[in-house]
Amino acid sequence: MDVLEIDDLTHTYPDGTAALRGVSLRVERGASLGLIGPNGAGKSTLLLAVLGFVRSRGTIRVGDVALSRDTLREIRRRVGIVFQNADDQLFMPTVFDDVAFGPLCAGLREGEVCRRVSEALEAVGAGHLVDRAPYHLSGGEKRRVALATVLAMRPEVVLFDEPTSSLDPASREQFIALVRDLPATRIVATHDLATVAAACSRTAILFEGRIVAQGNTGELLADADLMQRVQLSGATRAATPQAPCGGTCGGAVGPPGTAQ
Amino acid sequence: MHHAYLDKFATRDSPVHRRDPRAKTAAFLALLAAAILVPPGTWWPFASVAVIVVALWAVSSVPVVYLLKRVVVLSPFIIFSLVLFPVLYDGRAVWTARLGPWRMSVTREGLELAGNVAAKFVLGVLILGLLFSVTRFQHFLYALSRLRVPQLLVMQLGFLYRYLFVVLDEAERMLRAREARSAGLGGPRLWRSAAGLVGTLFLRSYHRSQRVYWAMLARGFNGEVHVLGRLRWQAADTLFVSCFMAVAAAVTVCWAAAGLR
Repeated sequence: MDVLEIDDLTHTYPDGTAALRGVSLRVERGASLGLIGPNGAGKSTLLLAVLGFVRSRGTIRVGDVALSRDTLREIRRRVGIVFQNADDQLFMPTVFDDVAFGPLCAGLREGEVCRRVSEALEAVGAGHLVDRAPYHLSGGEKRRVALATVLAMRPEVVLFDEPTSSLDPASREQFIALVRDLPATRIVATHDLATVAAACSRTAILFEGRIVAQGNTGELLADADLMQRVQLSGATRAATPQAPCGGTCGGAVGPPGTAQ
Repeated sequence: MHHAYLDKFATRDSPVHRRDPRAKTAAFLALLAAAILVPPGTWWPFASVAVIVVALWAVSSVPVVYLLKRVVVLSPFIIFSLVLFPVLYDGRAVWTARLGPWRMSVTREGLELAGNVAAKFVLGVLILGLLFSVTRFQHFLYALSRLRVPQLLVMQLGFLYRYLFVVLDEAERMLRAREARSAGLGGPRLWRSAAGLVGTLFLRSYHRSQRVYWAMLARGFNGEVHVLGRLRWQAADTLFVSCFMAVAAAVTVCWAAAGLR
């Protein structure tokens, strides 16, 4: 059975714009799926919808549990999310408290909580950070600790929202390796194609609220026309400079001598 | 930007540092109460509390410059009161200034009140400064929750401390951006933009609080805060708290009894 099934998911923003228009997706257990698309495609919205943070129409099923108001807790126990901004996720005074937050809310006993905290921190290579305050950590360290806070709950599926944004190259490689080696099912939403190429075997492309393509990561990324169509390649759009005031500005922008 | 932390000396070691946070919090707050309750006109309780504060500082190995600097930095908050009380408070005039038809008197009662407030301010800042120099902030929060302070309040204190520096950083970035675009001009334009800055900071904090709440829900938060008790209460802690409670009670009883006579 697929661990995650999304059928005809639709969500509209409060101002009326359609964020998701009938998205359908199936993810196999243990798979690593990349979810790519340009800014504004609806990737983050899709991830938030899976966890029930945005109200949406359509069905979402995690394993044998369908998402509904009564099953929110169970879904959130099985699915973890690493947000784009690690600061939003590290809200306790120390790293230990943050990683212990999930297990404590689940009602585990002190011994088990401590065990899970060490496990999770070791898994992300942040064992030495256990007593530090989150504010003092570097971007890469925060990202890893944020992942540890999710791993401590032993979820079946881990969602990543732009996991490598604002990371330097070394931290980015480190994090990608972490993502690749996780035993849980992973969905990585990002517009950084290098991350997807390195961490995900399969990829789905979300464009203007719809899944327009799915398949093997390498094949999809190699399709230059497709990448350009969904605004994911640094394509040459030969834009003619349009003066905002209908051409009567007198070419004020630019060094003297250039034609405007 | 690197911010000075409230508890930057709390990781040092001393007989005071080693006491249980609950003992330290209760003891220091008792001392603070003893200082705050003193009525105007009585000075010896302040001296007693000051002696204890000095003794605590001596044992705790916290730099005195750090503590005194905090008093100086926070003093603007009470400067107004200290200047106005002697003049506005009715009582026996000690000194009077005349300017044409106007008279302004400095009264004895006003001076006593100002002195009372000043003493409470200085002692209060020193006591709290010492408390946070010997107790890590999260241990202080844990002690508060164990002392039956409402969990909601404790959580809010925790979030305030956690995100205060994030907001300060945002403010710094916005100020820097404004400076970069203001071409060195100052004046009313800058003041007007201050309202926009504050408004934007508030909006960002509001949206951040939404995301933090989602992060909490995603990890199973259901309204109850759970804190792991990883502290051990020792006999020395009982002794520590008892001494402070006894002294605080003795001081208060003594001036209360003297007042009643």
